[in-house]
Amino acid sequence: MIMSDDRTIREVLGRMADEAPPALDLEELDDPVVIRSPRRTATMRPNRRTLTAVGGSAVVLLAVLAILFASGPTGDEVVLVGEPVAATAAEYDAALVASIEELVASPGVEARERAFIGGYLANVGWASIRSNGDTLVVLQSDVDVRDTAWWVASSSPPRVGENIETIAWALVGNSYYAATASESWTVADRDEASRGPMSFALGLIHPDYRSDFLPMMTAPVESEVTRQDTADGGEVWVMSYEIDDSPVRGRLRIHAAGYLAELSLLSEDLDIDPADFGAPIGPALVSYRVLDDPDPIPTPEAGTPLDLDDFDLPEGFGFGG
Amino acid sequence: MVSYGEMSESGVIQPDQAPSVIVDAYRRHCDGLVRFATVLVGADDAHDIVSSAMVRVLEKAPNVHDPKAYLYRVVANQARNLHRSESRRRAREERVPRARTSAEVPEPYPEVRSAIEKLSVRQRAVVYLTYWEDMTDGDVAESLAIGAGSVRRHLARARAHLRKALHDHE
Repeated sequence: MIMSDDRTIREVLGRMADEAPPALDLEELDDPVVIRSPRRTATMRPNRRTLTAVGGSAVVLLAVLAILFASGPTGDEVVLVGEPVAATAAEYDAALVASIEELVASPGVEARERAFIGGYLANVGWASIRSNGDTLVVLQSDVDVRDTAWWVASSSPPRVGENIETIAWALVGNSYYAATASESWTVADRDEASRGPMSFALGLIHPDYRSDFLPMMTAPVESEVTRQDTADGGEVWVMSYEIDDSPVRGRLRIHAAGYLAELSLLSEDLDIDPADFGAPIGPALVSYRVLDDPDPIPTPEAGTPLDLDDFDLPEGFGFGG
Repeated sequence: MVSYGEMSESGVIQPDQAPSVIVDAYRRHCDGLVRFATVLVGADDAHDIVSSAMVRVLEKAPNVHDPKAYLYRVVANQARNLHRSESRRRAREERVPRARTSAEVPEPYPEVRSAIEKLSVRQRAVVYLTYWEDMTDGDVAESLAIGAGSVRRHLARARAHLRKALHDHE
């Protein structure tokens, strides 16, 4: 019966294909004005145009995409207790917003993120923010992984670890500071400066950016949502839905104190159109740590070179860790 | 970005300026690409899909190791994002005769055809490449730029739908 079924399906497909019009010579093809549409009107949109508008730089675009469509394990060691309880997308969103508000209300927050493209580490980010808005951000990217569109030729993996870009910027008082590995610190007026690339982890909690980033992380109404307790008194929320038949899972881990401790969005086989040079997105993870009594953000000294040892970066930060 | 597949003011591709590997691949596989597009979006839109795909491919001129798989992939992606100009479509329909229509060749298994048409574009692509092009899971995965596991999952779901339609037919 199965063979017969397959034969029938094949025959029907053949008849459908036989309806094809004659192929045109290349010279006969013209611009068909095919307009690309957003894949879905969900609140969290995998849409390059939207993300570009939010970020405005390749660093931001790829980092955000990577986080939105991360796949793979998060690597944490959270002990879940009891059974997952069904919840709604609205409840998921409420938990997300409330846990971010807890972060924002903290004296200080340290954020960390790692984003992969096609399984290769592309971007790492670290940010520290104070309740007065003072901020320090360090971003590193593997330029060969991030920018060379190596994923278009699927048989050619990128060079790795040979071209690492480092950018740092800070908001302290009324000043904006920026530096790269090759350009010393510069200083400008905080409100007038053209700011550097954004860290997604920071964007979600920083008052200047949160309204742009938060809507991308909420659950589409059709999502299946569960909530489960953790052994240390926190909660894990999971939401899942499909984009073009590919499952997407969002996951929040909320600390017992109520703040967002981890955030990730996981996908299986979700591809970005290679004809758009969109990246095949690999695992990524954002994590937060509340600082109860933080030191002030250090003020960079204009004209001096960037030295990451000046900052209290977490152990293992960067491409070597 | 360098654009190898230049468009004239009339919007017509100038193949003499396009990379030969892409041009050769198109010329070898254009019939198959149009048939593939027809299964994905129907005969009326097949040319739009293939044309749009080729415009994008020639504009990007990627250095691909398997041009055939890449062309199929871009056609499939274009099919998933089809929105087209009605006026252009009408003009094209007047210019390009269709080979045959379903009205001319009665479908003995209308339930199966209807079930195929209800599959998502990606599932339809997986089914067509597997059943008609006799591709392996790996080849389909390469052509659609998805994982082999995803191919098997799409195929299993599609088969379940199609076999239910077949049994309903009986």
